[in-house]
Amino acid sequence: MSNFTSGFIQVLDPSVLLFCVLGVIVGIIFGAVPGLTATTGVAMFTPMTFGMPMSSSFAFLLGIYCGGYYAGSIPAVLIRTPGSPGNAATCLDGYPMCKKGQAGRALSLSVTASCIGGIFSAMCLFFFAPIISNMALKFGPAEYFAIALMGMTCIASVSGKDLIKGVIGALIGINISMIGMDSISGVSRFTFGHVRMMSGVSLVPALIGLFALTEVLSKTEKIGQDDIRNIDSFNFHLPNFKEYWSIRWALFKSCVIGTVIGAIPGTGPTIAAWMAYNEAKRSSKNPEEYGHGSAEGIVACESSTNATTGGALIPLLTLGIPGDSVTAVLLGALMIQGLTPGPMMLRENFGILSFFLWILIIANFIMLFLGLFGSKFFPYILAVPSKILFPFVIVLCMLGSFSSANSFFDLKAVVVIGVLGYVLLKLGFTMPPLVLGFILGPIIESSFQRAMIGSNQNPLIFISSPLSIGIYSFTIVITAMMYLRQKRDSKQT
Amino acid sequence: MAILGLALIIRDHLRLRRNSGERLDISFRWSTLVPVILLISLYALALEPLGFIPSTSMFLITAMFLFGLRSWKQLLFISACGTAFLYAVFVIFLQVQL
Repeated sequence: MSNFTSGFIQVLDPSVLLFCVLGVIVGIIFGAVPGLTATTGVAMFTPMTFGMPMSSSFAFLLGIYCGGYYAGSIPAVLIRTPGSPGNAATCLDGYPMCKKGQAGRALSLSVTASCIGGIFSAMCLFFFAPIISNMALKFGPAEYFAIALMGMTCIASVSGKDLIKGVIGALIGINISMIGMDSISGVSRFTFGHVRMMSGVSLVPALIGLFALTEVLSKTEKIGQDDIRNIDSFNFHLPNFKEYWSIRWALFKSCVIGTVIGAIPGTGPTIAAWMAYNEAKRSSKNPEEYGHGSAEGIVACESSTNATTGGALIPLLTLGIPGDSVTAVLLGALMIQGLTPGPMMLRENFGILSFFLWILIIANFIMLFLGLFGSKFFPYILAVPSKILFPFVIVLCMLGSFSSANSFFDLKAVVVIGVLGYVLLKLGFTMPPLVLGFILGPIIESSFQRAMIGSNQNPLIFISSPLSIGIYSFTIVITAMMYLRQKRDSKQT
Repeated sequence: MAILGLALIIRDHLRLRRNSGERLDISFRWSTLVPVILLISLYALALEPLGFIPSTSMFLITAMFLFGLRSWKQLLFISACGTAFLYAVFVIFLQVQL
């Protein structure tokens, strides 16, 4: 119980609250502008948290995280363009509702559902993370190898339309991570005799390059042709408790789906939203309303999207393996604060968990407040012309990657990685497998080597413990499930 | 791993050949893309010798011009304000050694 409250005291610090509000505002802006996502926002602002204390920096970043995941629904409702892929399902019902002249109601539904989903998953994080973390304490290098391998496989099989492209992406990520000195033997690899390459590609420039710069580059093609759409004025609408009570089961199920999907490494809000939407539609009393402005549909998508936030933090805080693309960036932010995510982190600083819980709860309430009372301003956010916005985003990307290590080399690295990422994006790859390959590559490698050294070069160590066998079988089950689902989907289309 | 990767690429390629009816639709809009990439690379290279204020303001002006903003007053005004704001945030507030 004292753990539960200890974080609360940290949260009450005015500067922490201020940064949390700031974070939610930044998150809403990044989420709402189509083409910029919560991931872009967190990646760009992570380097700026370098000089901040841990509490403010995470209040800020988690605020962006929550606000950004919610705000993708704003353009989805108002102009039928999802702010981020996770909110695509919201368009189906949000936009028809807007057309009926109920834009205010749709926005209020989406922010309330997001808030409920976010708080639900934060609670799950608080209760399940210690259990998983205790289990993870029994892990040796061999089990770590298995877990990291699981992360890689899930990512490759889950994200993107093409399984093979997912695998190739993850392998490219590993290849980028191999640049520099080997962590155990100290042999330098792929450095081409260049001293600056010895330390490898650092995390923050790689993340900014892959998530932020790549997105911006892919949007430059559309700049200049964006049509200005008129948004009808709408009235502010308070949430109605009865409306939620009548769909409580759909709401609860979507929260659970979001949290569970979020906790599986590499999945993220897009999959969660579609799964929750389909499930809600299947079990609904009036499925014919779906697609024509069903309140249930909006609530299902939005609550599951925001429920992934807490879910995705579970593997990050317990195992050091990010659950989705934003948590991949948060991994970098934790490292900036001198924390190494993994089973030992929660053991050594247990307070961090309750701090995360309270920050997530408060960020969700701030989001609710801003989403309800600030909804008048949303059309203005969408009206900022991209030709002015994007140059600033590029400058922020560059300055951010420079300031993480004050290195001009990183600036050049970020351009190269961004262009590489853009070409891959064009070829139909998605970024999450690549990034997680980049992050998990070193974990896989060093745990492989440590396990081999520890077992006197006996490869049987990888399959000798029940824990790792369990992890492997779980991996195989998930991959098979995803593969079958892909087959089924491709048959349907 | 390299062998596996090669095998995947070859498999993918073969599969594409087989159903060559559906070619991947990859189109780049070179006319905006190449200048933007060149501009970003130039900016990355120019930050060190030129310093923050000249390179950023130049970058903002050319980038906004490229993206289709044509009014000179707006270009100058926005980039001047923007540079000042970014300078305040990064150099004064965050104390980045630029």
